[in-house]
Amino acid sequence: MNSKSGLPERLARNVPIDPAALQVQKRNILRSLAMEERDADEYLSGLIDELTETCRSMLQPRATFMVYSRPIFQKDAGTMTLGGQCFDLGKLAISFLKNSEYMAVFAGTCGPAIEAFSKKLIGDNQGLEGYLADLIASEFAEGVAEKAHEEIEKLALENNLSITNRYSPGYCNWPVSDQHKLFSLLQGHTSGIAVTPSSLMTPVKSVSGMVGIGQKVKKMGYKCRYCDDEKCLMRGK
Amino acid sequence: MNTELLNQIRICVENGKVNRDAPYPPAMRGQDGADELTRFALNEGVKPSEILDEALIPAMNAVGQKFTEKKIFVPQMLISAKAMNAAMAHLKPYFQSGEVKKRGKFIIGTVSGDLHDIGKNLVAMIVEGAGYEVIDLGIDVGPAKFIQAIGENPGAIVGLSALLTTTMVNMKAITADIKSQYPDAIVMIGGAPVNEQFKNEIGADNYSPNPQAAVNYLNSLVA
Repeated sequence: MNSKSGLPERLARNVPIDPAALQVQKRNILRSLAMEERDADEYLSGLIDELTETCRSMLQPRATFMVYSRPIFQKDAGTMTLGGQCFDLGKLAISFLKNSEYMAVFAGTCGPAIEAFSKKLIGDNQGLEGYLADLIASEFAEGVAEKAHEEIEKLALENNLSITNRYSPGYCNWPVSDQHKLFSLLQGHTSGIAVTPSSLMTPVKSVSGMVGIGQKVKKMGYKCRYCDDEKCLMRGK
Repeated sequence: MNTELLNQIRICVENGKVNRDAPYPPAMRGQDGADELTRFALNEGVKPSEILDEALIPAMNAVGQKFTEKKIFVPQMLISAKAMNAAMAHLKPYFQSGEVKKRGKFIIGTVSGDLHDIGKNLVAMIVEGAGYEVIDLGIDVGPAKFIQAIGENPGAIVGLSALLTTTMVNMKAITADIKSQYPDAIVMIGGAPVNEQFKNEIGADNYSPNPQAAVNYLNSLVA
């Protein structure tokens, strides 16, 4: 099959996710705490390991994606029109997505249980444990997004196509207010995720975004050096 | 006797020794923590205001200072906050009766569109440890909620937090709305993407790059 025969248009695909396969990188947890691995003592390191497994048992991972064809890029404006919606992606993301023939729109979550667990810990004066659970849940949510990305890549490869990096509202200068438009393209296949009026996702530990697909695109690591957002949470990850 | 007890409580909070059962810090394993020592001090007739002013506040000031100087990290700060809260639980009745007074009120929230709260919570803990009453409005807080909280807590100082460049812009509208309704309200901002220049651009009163700087500014207002 090649791109001329086309990818399945606007077909919701569920992403199979095994909780045991989701990885938590301890160095990412520590980085969020402004620490290096060498800064973590035995107590903290053991606590992260213990909470990771506790949180893993609470995972309810879900992810869905839909593929749209013919994205239209307005390079000078830094925008893209897809499915009748105009996205203010920014010039940086557009520069990496511009050769896409298709866009996969995805949303995934690790469910609400870890978030509730974290809040309970904080309420019970276990602030450190609560924050670690929160950070671990963020890592799991990124893992869910990675699984969605892999599944999109698998579909692309089956059709002799390549994919780009994934981009999410709120990052790479893409306004978080575009979240509503993104979810409208999922046509109700949102993996149980809702979007608040201020564009936040609930459950909070969810990730949404887009991945470009085409013959002349490639995944190449994030080009943080081209971005002026020095304080981005994802910088250098 | 009192001085020694207060010093022990201060050491426990500064090092994050919550109670006798707590495994942290390993060097203090098996010793009484802030919980037991505060209860003991009150039973021995130490005034609650002394415990607050001479043990808890200095301990959390030291923690905030060490964090500012990067001598400790967020986890140690959180464990110290846990020890402080264990001690504070014994002082709660004295706050409620008015025997011990807070230094002022501080309203804090992460601005609308932003769900990141670790920085906000760290500031809240250190400010609380410095003797202030903290009203934490949570995350994704819009102008109406801030304005309502100021109305309910006249004279309170307001802190806005944001972690994304895409949400820090919401600080401008929130600050303008607050100032429009309460021109004398003092608005502080903090968070990874903001700085002194941004504070000036949006008409806020203070930018604090870390929790201790926020405490120092608050102290300068109530001095």
